[in-house]
Amino acid sequence: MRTEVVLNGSSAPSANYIGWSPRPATIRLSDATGANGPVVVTLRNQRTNVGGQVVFSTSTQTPGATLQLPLPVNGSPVDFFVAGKFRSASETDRDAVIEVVDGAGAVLSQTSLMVRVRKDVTTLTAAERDLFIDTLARFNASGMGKFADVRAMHVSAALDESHGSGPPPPQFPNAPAFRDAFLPWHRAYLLDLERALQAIEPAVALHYWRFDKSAPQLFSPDFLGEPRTGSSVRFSSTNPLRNWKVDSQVGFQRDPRFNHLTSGASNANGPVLTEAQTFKLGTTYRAFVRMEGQPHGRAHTCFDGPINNPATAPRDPLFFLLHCNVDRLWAQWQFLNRLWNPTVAGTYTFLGKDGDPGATRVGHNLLDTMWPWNGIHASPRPTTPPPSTSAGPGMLPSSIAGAPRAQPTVEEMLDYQGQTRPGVWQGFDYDDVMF
Amino acid sequence: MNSEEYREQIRRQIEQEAGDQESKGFWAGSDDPEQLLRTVRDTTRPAEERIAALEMLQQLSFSAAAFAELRPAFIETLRAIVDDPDERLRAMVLESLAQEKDEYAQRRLLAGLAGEENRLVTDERAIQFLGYDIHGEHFPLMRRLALDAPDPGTRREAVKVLSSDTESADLLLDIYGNKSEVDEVRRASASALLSVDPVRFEERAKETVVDDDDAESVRAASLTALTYYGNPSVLANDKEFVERVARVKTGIPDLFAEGTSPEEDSEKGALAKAVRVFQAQYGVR
Repeated sequence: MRTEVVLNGSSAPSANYIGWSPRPATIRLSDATGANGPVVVTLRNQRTNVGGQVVFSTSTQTPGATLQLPLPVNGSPVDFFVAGKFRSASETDRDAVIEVVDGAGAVLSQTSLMVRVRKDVTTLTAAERDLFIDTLARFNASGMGKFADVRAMHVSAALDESHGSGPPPPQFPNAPAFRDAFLPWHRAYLLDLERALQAIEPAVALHYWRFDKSAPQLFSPDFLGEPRTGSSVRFSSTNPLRNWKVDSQVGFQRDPRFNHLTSGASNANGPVLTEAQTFKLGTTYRAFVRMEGQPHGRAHTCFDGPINNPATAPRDPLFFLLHCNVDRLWAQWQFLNRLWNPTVAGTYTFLGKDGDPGATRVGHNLLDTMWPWNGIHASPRPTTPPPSTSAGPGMLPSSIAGAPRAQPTVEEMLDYQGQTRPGVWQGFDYDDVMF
Repeated sequence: MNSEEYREQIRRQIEQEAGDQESKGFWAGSDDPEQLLRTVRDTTRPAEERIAALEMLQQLSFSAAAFAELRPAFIETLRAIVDDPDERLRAMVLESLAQEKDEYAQRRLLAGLAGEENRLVTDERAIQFLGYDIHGEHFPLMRRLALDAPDPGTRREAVKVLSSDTESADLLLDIYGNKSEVDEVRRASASALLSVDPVRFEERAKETVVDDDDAESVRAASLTALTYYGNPSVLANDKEFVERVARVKTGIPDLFAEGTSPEEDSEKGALAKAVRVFQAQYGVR
């Protein structure tokens, strides 16, 4: 007797990645030899103290470490849900194993999968660190890879698409203001990059730099490089990022304005807001998005080097780990305040689309599509698309998640876990943000 | 713990940890951009205060909807103080201008590098700043610095800038192969050569990797670059090279003992790791 477990609607190995969000799964008797009627099986973690752990549920049962299901003898599939057990993520590819046993304890199948989440860089194993930098380096391909597209999305001519929340200063009362898509746009930006990395190495995830805490491991020759005062970042001889090339330049400078070995980020104006202080910015989106300035802008400006200017910041790979933390803060704030559904007050600001009464700049209203994934390259959108979008716009698809659509709206980036739309998951989770 | 319990746990932490909304640093003034610009420009104020104001302006550039409108005044202010006596402020100002691809700053940086006027920042930094917007006419000077600058940091940064100059391939190849040059300049040359002439890089890198007389850190960097950026089919089919890489092990057998974890900052350890990664990539054990 054998069983077959299918995750995320596909029996392909590339589908065997989950996070904290419950994912659809099926189980069936693939070989019913010896069965005379429905066979009751138990799903469980093969190893309960090693590797990623999962929990099981059905539409009527709450998540648990085991699940009993009766399987029809005719081989019809039975639905259930599987999710990563919170705080028990994988460390290596497919180190989680769903084991199915019958009533006598005989093993009927084993299905390997990965509980893949974005993690605090200070918690990564050496293998996780190396996988991340290796994949990033391959994507950059010493300046010849597709990273050039990612970099081209965050240039001077495109910043109006992704920055500029808050009111106009008094001396510029007519200046464009309340461009609130800072957070949704960067969520899409990170996801697009992460999917590109996963196309190279499925087990990789983006990880985040908690800029309000010290992270000496991150600023080391074997990770994102060791700062040298007045000089370019030093990488170890075996760090593939030593060949990192962006904008025709090999290497980059990143000189901290703080003690990067002992403290979180700060500059002459003080430290970045702590996580707790950031959450206290407010319980409405318009209040919370002020984090674009502090801690986000403050974190950028705690260094000399390209990262302290929005037009040059993506030259430094730290940019993406910094922004991953910005997105995590938003995700945790959404969780704390249950703000995923835009019809709930405070989840977002303007709920209409460009041109509606009260709308702000195109690209920043809830129903607007976002550049460059929408393929619109006519003013007022940036007119210079990233190189690859000339061959066809759209966000990279995922083998495990059907959302967002290739040309996402601001709205689609809000509920990344499918909290209010069950099953609509975007393929990522954070180690400390629960479903 | 269910989601509601977790939510409550985080809320309790927030209340315990939030404290004051913002710790004030040196800059205690307003976020009014015009006041910040006046402060940055005011040479009667302490340099620390002006630096804090400049950092605040940099922060505003990430979020202020009106920063684009402020940019002309921002540039004008910075241009006015590129000769400021405070070294730290001067470097910050020049970097900000270089990031904006400001021609005036580029001209002043080049003049300092060429010895036509006093240096505003170290040569190493001047090259980095020019790297924000390198032009073809900069390359002859960069080639000269890559060869002749007395400071290795300057030579290294010049070599990096040449990573966008295909006409410098011969020079980069020479520096890469020059065993009397310091290792970090040679490693930078290898990276730059990889960019401008991958074929010749691959040839030289193979020679370097198997040269037992060469510096281990240069060999490690060469093998790492080959592993990640070399032509996979060419490398996989180059049995002689794969075998010679395997023989690199025999020179330092203690580093390959079961369970050892080479110190990556040690040159020999770095080479051991590079060999291991190469062999994993190309299916050799």
